[in-house]
Amino acid sequence: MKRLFITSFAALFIVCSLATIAGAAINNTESKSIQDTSNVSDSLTVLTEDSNFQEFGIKLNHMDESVKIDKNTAIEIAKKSVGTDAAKEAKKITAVLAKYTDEENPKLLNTDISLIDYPVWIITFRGVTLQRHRAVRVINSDASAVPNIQTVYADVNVIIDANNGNELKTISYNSIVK
Amino acid sequence: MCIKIMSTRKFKLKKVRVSFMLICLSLTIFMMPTFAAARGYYFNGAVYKANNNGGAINLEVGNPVVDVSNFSDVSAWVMTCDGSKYFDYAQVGWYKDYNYSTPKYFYEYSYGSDFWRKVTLGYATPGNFNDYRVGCDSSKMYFIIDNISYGTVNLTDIPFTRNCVQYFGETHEIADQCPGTVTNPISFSYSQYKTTSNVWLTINATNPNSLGYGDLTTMRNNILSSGSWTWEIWDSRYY
Repeated sequence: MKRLFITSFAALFIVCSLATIAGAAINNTESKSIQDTSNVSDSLTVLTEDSNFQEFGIKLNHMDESVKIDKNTAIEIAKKSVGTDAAKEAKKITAVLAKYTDEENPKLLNTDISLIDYPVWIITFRGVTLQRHRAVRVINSDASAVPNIQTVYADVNVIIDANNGNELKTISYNSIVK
Repeated sequence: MCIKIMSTRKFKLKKVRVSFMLICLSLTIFMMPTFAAARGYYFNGAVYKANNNGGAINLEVGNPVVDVSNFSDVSAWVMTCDGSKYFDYAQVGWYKDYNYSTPKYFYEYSYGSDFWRKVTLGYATPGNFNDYRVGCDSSKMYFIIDNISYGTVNLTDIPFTRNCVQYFGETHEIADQCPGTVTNPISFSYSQYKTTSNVWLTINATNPNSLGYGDLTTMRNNILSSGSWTWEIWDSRYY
C-alpha cells in the first residue's frame, strides 16, 4: 500500500514536471518560429476575419510598396510594448503588413498623422493575460464582495509605423483563442 | 484482534492524509506562479451619483512609480458606469504600465466580466493637462481627449445603466505610487457630468472614503466633505 502511494506521488510529480517543461518548450518554439520566418507578412485574413478586431472600424488594404521596418524588428518593438512576460505567454504571434485606415477616428493623438492608408505592421499576440480596470462600487456597496485583481485573457494588437518603427496604438480585447 | 484492525485502519488513514497533503503541496508548487501576485484595486478620488450620459475632467498627467516586480500599472481617469457593479463601465484617461517609461493615453470599456476592450493611444507627457471626456449620444459612446474623439463604441455593446460618474487615480499594489507627490500633487479640475438631456454641468464630486484619504492611508486628497469640482491627489510617501 505504502509503495502504491509513493509510486502515485512520484508519478504525479514527474507528470507535472514534464508538463511544465513541455509547456515552456512549446512557448519557446512558437516565439522562435516567428523569429525564424521570412520577412513576409501574414495574411490580412488573420485580422479581417477577427470579428473583435473589426469592431474598431478599421479597414486594411494590401501593402505593395516596400517599407523600412522589417517583420522581425516590428515584432521586437511590439514585444517591448506588451511586456516580455505577455509576449512569452502568447499562444500565437502574427505580423501583418497593411495599409491601415481608421474610418471613424483617423487622427492620431499628439501627431499630425492621419491614419488613412497608413503603412503599418500589426503584431498580434493571441492569448495573453492582462490586468483590467474596474469601477468603484458605490451604490448598494458590499465591502465583503470587493474582488481581488481581475485579469482578462486577451488578444493584443500592437500597431507600428512600418517606416519608422514608432508604436501608433494598441488594441486589446477578449481573446478569440480558447 | 480488534485492536490490531483499529490500528491498521488508523495507519491507513494516516497514509491517506499524508498522501493527500503531499499531492496538495505538489499542486501548490506547480500552480504558484499563477497565485504569486496577490493584488488589489486601490482608488483615490471622487464620485458623482446621477443618471448620466457621460463624465469629464481636466486631468494632469503624472509619472508615478509602478511596481515592476508584480507587473502592475497606475492610472488616472474619468468613467461613466453602473455604480452598483464592478465591470460595467467606459473610461478614458492615462495609465503607466510597469514596462513604460512614461504614461500613455488610453480608453477602456467593459460590460460584465466577459466583454472587455482597451485601446492604448500615444505617450502622454507628465505635467501636461488634458481634457478627458467620455460621453454618449443616442447610439454611441465617445472617448474624447482635448475635444477630439479617438474612439467610439455602440451603446448596444455596453448597455449598462449609467448612474454614476467616477474620477480616480488607481493602483494595484501597495508598492505602486498613487499619482502625485506631497509637493507636486496631481490635479483633477472641472469635474463635469453630462445630463440625460445632454447638457454638460460642472458638479461637486464626493470622496467615498474618509475625508482626506483614498483606499490606502498613503493615498491622500483635498476633496472637501461637501464635495469638490477641483481637487488634488498625492501619495504621502513621496515628496
